[in-house]
This record gives sequence, structure tokens and C-alpha cells, in this order.
Amino acid sequence: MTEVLFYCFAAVAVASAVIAISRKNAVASALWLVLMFFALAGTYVLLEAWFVAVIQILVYAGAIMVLFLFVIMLVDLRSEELAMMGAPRFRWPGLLTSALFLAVAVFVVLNTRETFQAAAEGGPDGDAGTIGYWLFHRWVLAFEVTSVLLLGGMLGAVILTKRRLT
Amino acid sequence: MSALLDPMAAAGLATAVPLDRAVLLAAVLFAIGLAGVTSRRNVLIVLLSVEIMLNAANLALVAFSKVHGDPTGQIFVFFAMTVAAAEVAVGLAIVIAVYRLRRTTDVGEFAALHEVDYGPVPYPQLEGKPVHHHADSDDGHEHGGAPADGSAEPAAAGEEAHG
Repeated sequence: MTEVLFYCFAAVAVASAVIAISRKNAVASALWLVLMFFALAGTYVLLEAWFVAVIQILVYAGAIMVLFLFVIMLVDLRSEELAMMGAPRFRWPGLLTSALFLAVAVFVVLNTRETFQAAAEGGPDGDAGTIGYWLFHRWVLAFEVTSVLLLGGMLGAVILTKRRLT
Repeated sequence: MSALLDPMAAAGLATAVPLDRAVLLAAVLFAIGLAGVTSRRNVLIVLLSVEIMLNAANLALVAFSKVHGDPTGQIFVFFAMTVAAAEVAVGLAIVIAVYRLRRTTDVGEFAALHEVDYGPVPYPQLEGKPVHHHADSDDGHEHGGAPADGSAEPAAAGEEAHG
């Protein structure tokens, strides 16, 4: 049952990612990407990473994609210009590069697949308590530095989008 | 599919999700994101494809956290999402700043970091059409004769070489 669910989520994620990068309208692209984020959140639940699954939906499907949609609607082409454009053209060197990467990655994974066993003790518990314990004990310095990074990102975004720095 | 009859599952060691399948899914998603980054021309779709690649890396991290029985991988996913949020904020701010200058979202137009004078750009002008480099816009840019000069010079040079 879990395996069937995993394959369903994987199919949805791959299909919506392919659709997302092949739309000519960036708004449709972003909405398909939201579907991919939800499918990946389902995969995280099946991998028993509960906290990561919730954060995926809250941060990615919520905050980041809303930011994306706002900027796309500010910046992107009008609908009549979209209607004049043809289907999006892919440049073949890029497709060739990614196909090469896919071949190498699949080759490596298939040749090392017997090492992908879950740990004997069943693996870590991915709930918020465990993650929070480690976050505030061993990784507390990185956690605090992250707040400085977010402050820097916020200041950078405000300054970059300001018209005039006076 | 014969892969469903996994010997690891028979040994009672595995989680319900086959972890090599999860890593394969991460590789496929990363390749899709790579295709979007390297072959699309709309900078917004390029940034969306970067998000696909980050998510593929996150999935691989969670799967390997399961392999090693160590929550550090999931904590790294937490930090990766935070950095991704900051990256999206700054990246989209750069997109808006460049769009204000160039009136386009084509990555081919983002080659120069310095300002190119496309004439006065009123702000905010959301109804304006993006100015392409071949556009016959009437916004008074003074290098309208530059392509003619550029095409004339190689011809002259060729004549000199022949002569």
C-alpha cells in the first residue's frame, strides 16, 4: 500500500514538473509547481519525515510560491503577447546536458542500489520534537546564523527593488 | 514490475518506501529542473526550475537520512528551505530590477550588467510593451543607426582585405 502510494506521488511529481517547465505562461508553470510540492510532501510523509512534509507545504507551497506568483504577475508578458508567441522552444544543448546527467545519475543509483537499505534501528523519527531537539542543541549556531541570512536577504530584496537610494 | 518484490523488504529491514526508488525520483526531478534551467529563456521559469532542483536535492537528503538513521539530513533540509526562501527573495528582486531596466524577462537580454540606454522608462509602467533589441520603438534611443554601421564595417574591411 505504501509503495503504491509512493509510485502515485512520484508519477504526479514527475508529470507536474515536466508540465511546469514546458508551459509558456509562467503563472500556469508556478501553479503546476505547487502540485509538485504537494506530491513531494506526500513522499516525505511516506518516508516518515513528518516535520519536513509540513514545512514543505507551509514554506514552499505557501510562502515561496506566493512570492513567485506576485512577481510573475508584476513582470510577465500580457496575455495577448502570450497568444502571439508560439510554443516555448527548448534549446537542445540544454536538453542534451540534462539527459546526460539523468543517464549518469540513474546508472550510479542502479549500480549502488544494494547500499540503499534503511538503517537497522528503523531510522530517525522525523517528528517536530526530534527535529526541534537537534535544531536547538547541536545545530543551534547554524539556526541563529540562518536568521542573519534571512535578514540579509530581506534587506537585499528591499534595496534592490528600491527605485532610488536616497 | 519485479522490482516490487524487493529482497530488502523480505528481510524486514526496509521502510515501506524503497529508498533507491526515492533517490531515483530525486535524480529524475533534478534532471527535469536542469532541463528547465538550461533550455528555457524566460528567467521566471529558470528560477522555478532552480526550485525543482532544490526540491530534488531535499528529497535525496531525506532518503539518505533514512539510510543512515540520522536526523541530520532532515535538519539540513530545513536549512536548505530557509536558504531557498532567501534566494528566491533576492533573485526575484534582481529580476524586478533588471525588468525595470530592460523591459523583458528573456535571459538572453540579461547579458550586460551595465545600463543600456533604452530611453526613458517611466515607473511604474505596467502597460508598457517590453522593448526588444530589434524593436522599432520610437522612444528616442540614439543608437538607431548602430546596426547599419556595424553591418557596413565588416563589408568595408572585407573589401580592404580583397584589395
